[in-house]
Amino acid sequence: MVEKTHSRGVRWRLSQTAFDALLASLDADRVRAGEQYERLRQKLVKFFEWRGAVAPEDLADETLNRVARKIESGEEIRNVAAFCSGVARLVWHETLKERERTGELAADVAAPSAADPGDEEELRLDALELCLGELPGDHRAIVLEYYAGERRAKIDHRKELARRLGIEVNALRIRVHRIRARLESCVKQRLKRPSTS
Amino acid sequence: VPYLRTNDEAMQFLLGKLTEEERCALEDRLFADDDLFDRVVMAEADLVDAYARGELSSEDRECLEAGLLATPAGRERLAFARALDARARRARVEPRPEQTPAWGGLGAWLFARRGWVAGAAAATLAVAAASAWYFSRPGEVAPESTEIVAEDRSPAPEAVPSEPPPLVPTPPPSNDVETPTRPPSRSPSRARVAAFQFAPQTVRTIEELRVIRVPSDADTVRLVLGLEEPERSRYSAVLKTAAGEPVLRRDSLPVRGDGPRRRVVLDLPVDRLPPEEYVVALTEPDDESHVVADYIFRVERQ
Repeated sequence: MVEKTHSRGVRWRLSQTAFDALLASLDADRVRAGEQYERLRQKLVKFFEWRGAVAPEDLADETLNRVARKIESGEEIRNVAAFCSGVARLVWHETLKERERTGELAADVAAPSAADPGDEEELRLDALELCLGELPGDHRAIVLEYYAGERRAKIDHRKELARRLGIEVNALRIRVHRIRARLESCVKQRLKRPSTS
Repeated sequence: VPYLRTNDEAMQFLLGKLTEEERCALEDRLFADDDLFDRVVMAEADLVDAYARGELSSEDRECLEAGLLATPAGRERLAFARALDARARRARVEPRPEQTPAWGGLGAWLFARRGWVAGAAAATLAVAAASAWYFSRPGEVAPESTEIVAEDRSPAPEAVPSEPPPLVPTPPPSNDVETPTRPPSRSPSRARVAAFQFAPQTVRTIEELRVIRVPSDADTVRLVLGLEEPERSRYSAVLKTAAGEPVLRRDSLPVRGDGPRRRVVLDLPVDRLPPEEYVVALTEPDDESHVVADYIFRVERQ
C-alpha cells in the first residue's frame, strides 16, 4: 500500500477499499480499470514532470491518493481523469508554495550528479548496449537506423526505412518511439542497479 | 519526422512558451485525450533528441534548458538521448571521403543518398520541370498571388505577375542553374517578381540541386511548386535552410491548376533568401510532420 503525507501535514493512508473504489470508478472490469489506472498515473507523472517537479512520481501518487480518498468518502466523480487534472493542479500549487516557504527549489533541481560525468556517460553507454542486446534484432536495427544521420540525411534515412518496412513515416515514428521508450526504461533500470553487467 | 514543429501547440507547451491559461487548457486535453498525450510525449522525445544533436535554435535551446532540462528527469532524458545518438552514429556507415563533394553539408547529404537513388536519378532528371522566371508588371495582379502575399503578412510587392507559365517537362540546363531567359526591361519604380518552377522531387542527386539566380533588383521570389497527386486542396509550406534553420512558414496555400499543372505558389520576399541552400517542404495543413513533397535549391544572386 502507498502511504503519503499531505503537504499540510495531515496523514492519510490509502486503504484497499479506497483503492478498489478508485479502480471501480475507472471501469467496471478490473483488468481494464488497472490499465486505465496505469495510464492515468503515467499522465500525472508527465503532468508534474512538464511542470518542472523534482519528484513527479511522488506528486502523481499524492494526487491519486487524494482522488481515491474523495471517492471513498462517497463523492460522486463523473470524470475521474478531469477530476485528476484539477487535483494535480492543486497539488502542484501546494508544492510551489512549499518550495517558496522552504527555499529548497534549486538545490535539488540544479544539483548535478556527484558521479564523474565521463564515468556516468560510459556507464550509460554500456547499459544502452546491454539493453539494445535485449531487443529483437529487427527492433535494434530499426531504432539505430532511425536515429542515424544528420539533419536531412536523417530524414531521408527515415523515409527510406519506412519505405522498406512498407509503412508510413508517421507509423514508423510511433513504432520507434515505443522501442525507444522501452530502451530508455531499460537503461534507467540498469543504471539503478549496482552493476550494469 | 522531417521537421520539428517548434511552432505548434505541443512544442510551444514543451518549450514553456504558452500562457498559463493556454497551458492549463492543453493539460486538461491531455488528460482527456490519449492520442494527444502520446503525441506530446513523442514530441518531447523529438525535442530532446534535437537538443542533443544541436539542431535547435538558440531560443528554443534556452527555453528547453530553463524548463524540461532543468529537472532531474529532464537531465536523465537528455543523457539518454545523447547516448542513443552516439550509439546510432557509431552504427552509421560513413561515406568514403574521396567521394564526398567539396561544397558543404547539403552535398554530403546528397552524397549519402546517392547510392540508393542512383538508379532513379536519370528518370528523375528526365521528368524534372524546366524553370522559368519573369518580371511583374503593374496591373497584372493575380488573385492567387494576392492571397499568398496576404497570408504572409509581409509588405506586398507593388505588383505580382499574372498566371505563371505552365510546367513544361523539358530538361534543365547544365548544372540546373536558373538564369534569366530575357534581360530585365522594367522601369526602376516597378516591383519585380522572379519566378522559378519546380517539379515534385521524390529522389535527389547532386546533379539535381537546383540553383536559382535571383536578379539583384527583384523584390519577390516566386516558387511554383509542382505537385503530382495532391490529396488536399490546401497545404502548408515550411522553408528552412539546408542546415535546418527555419526561415518561414505559410499555411493554407491553395493548390492551383489541374492535371500536370497542379501546383502551389509560394511568394517569398527576396530579403528572406540570402544566398544559401534551402529546402521547402509542403506539408499536410494540420501535420507538419507529414511532408507531401519537398524542393531543394540554392539561391545565388546575379
